[in-house]
Amino acid sequence: MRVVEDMAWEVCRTVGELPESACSKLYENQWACVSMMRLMPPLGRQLLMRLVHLGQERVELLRWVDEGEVQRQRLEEVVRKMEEVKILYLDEDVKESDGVSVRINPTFSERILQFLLQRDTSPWSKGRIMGDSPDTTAEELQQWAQNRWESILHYMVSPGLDPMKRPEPGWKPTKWVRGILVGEDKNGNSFMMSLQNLAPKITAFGFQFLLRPLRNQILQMLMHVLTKKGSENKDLQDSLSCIFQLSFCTLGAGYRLDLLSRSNQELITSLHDLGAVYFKPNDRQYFFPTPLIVNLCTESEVPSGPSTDAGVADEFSAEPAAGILRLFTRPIYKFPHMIIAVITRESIRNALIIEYLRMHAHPQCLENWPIVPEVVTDQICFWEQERCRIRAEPAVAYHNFFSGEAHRACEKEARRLKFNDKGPGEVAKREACLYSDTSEQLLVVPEAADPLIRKFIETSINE
Amino acid sequence: MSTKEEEEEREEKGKQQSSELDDLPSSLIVILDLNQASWTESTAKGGPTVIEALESLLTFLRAFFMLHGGNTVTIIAAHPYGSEFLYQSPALQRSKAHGHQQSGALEMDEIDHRLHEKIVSLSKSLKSKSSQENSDSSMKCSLLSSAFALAACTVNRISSHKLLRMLPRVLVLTASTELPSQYIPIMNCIFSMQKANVLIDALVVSDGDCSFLQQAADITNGVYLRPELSKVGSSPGALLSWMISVFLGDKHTRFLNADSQSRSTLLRLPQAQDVDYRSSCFKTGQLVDVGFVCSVCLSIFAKCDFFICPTCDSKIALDRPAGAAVNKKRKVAAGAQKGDDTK
Repeated sequence: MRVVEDMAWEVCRTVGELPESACSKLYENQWACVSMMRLMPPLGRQLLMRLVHLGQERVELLRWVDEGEVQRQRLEEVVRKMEEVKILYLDEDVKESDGVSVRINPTFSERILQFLLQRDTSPWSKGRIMGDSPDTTAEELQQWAQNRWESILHYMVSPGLDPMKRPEPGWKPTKWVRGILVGEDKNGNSFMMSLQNLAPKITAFGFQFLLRPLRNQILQMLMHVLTKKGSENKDLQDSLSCIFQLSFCTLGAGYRLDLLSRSNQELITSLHDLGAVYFKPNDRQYFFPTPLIVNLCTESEVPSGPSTDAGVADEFSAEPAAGILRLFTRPIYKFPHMIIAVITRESIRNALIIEYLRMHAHPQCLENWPIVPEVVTDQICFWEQERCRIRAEPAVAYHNFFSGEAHRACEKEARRLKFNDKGPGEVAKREACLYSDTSEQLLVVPEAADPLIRKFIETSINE
Repeated sequence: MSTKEEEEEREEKGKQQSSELDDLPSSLIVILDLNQASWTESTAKGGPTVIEALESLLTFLRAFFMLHGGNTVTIIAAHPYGSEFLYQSPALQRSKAHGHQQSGALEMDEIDHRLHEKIVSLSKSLKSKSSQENSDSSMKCSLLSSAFALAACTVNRISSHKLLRMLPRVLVLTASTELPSQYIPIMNCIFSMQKANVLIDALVVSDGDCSFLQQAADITNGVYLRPELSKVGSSPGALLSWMISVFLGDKHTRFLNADSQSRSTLLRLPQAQDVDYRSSCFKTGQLVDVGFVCSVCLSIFAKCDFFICPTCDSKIALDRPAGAAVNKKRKVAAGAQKGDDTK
């Protein structure tokens, strides 16, 4: 799942871009250390675990892997990643000679060791209360968070719809949420475009976002919130720590809000709008992290997936799922539990679609393997390739020739005539005849070859 | 090969290819040998006590959970009277497969608590049992075969579950070395694990090698480790260091390509040296260099002093002298060959 990797990389890049001082502050927080460790590739985590036990010594990592070019490349790639986020320091002297000698960030190492050896491993344990009321059980939180998140996706797909028809009835995006959705990140990407006097419209970037697995969506949204243009986040490392820490919270437990720092309180209150944190009605003393953010940096996605041969049967549990499907398929039937739609050539814009189908399969389709039938995936790939194969260029068509004879002569000339359409320097020359039909007496030549053919016709008529 | 088999193979391949890109969580199955006699013996020779070993194991599991939030663990105890589950991650329990996973950090607190509770009650029941059965029963070896069977069941459940996508592997922590009487059941479990592509790692805290575990690790591409007793016993962190540096990694870090059959390694790990591939006599349980093999069921015997195979009851011609029994009973020379025969 490349996409998952990409998102982990996105978080790493954000951390990597932090200034030195902010980065060391971030690693003061043990939850941030553990989360960063989990975001590293498997080999990286393994190396870190060993390094933590070796303390501050310089270690020649090349001795830990088997000999071989591939092994060496893998090691160097992983070490580079860890160096970018300042977990490892590369030894410059040895770098030039043949070897990969590193030292581990002392704060990072210390925090990981501390985590390994301590007894109580839950964040904010001071102000924690365990679930005491029916509206904060794991199931209720899951339900509420899912409805809230789907309402947001729903809003992205169809902003103008009656709020009562949203998964969370009556939900309207707050000003803050609208700001996030239309706000640009530092690369100029935004989920929605705001149009004058009209409801905002989803962008291509936002559409890709919709097709991603849930975990990636949330990660991407959080990173978007943190690095949004305009809201200069001075305490980026502080907010990151807060989010990392949230992901280790217990589902169903409440945490005292007023024990947190001012900026973290603000962040958590705004995360409520995204469905990541729950507050009891009219009570902001305790916050309850929801499944959206708990285990965010820890859990792996469980893919599921499927479809019928001619159409697409998708689990129709949520309105946004159908809305997203409508963006790239033509719906035919809608049943209480499923929707049948046809994928057409025009609708295929991105290969992510296949992945999306797999992820949201009907449970019955899960019985099959491959989950999405090969015929369907192959066809989707063919259409995608077709787009790359065909190119448009101006051409000229000749018809109404005097006789079949004249047409044949012209065709022969066009086939003989090698012209070059990219200027005199090009060696590769093409045949000037693009299409010819003897019965219709039709001849099509590229625009660039038009003067030559015209000249030929004129001379042959004169003769 | 029938079409059905081909289909299955294709399916297998498809699954493997799709998992290649993923960073799958691991499911570690720990088989813990709690045979008091062998631990006492190894402690007497300078090794760690069972408590120290358990503490190292717990810290190791903490590190294991830290690596990946989806990692799960199953702990199975083997003792002279049988085997039992000590702990299993909530995610693996059938009813909760769809439920919410606890975060890894918190699960650890639960393991500490539950394991302590279980081991205390287990040691009480073991004490009462051994006092009932007089002194010689304490010398019996643990029923590792039964623990292996439980592990194989767990592996099967994980790999047949559609929504649990994990890489199962087995770690055996033991102080015993002699298990010849359980040769057949253990080998059966090992071969089924090999077929399921499950690694078996073995950590033997003793001064002698355990040949079956050596074979198990070698066949399944796992690691067999027997650190020097005096070194592990002298400092409390030594056993843990061994565990973290050798047994923490799963297929993704041990091999270049976790799913392909070619085993080009990535991390450098202890290599198997001279694996003792001798099997044991099916009747007496002793290791045999050269023995007799039943032509019907391939059972191996040190001596052929019977006329009906004790395993499969097939008749052996009575009128021939014992020396001529070679006609019926094929003599096998190399130990390795016997290993193959039992496959």
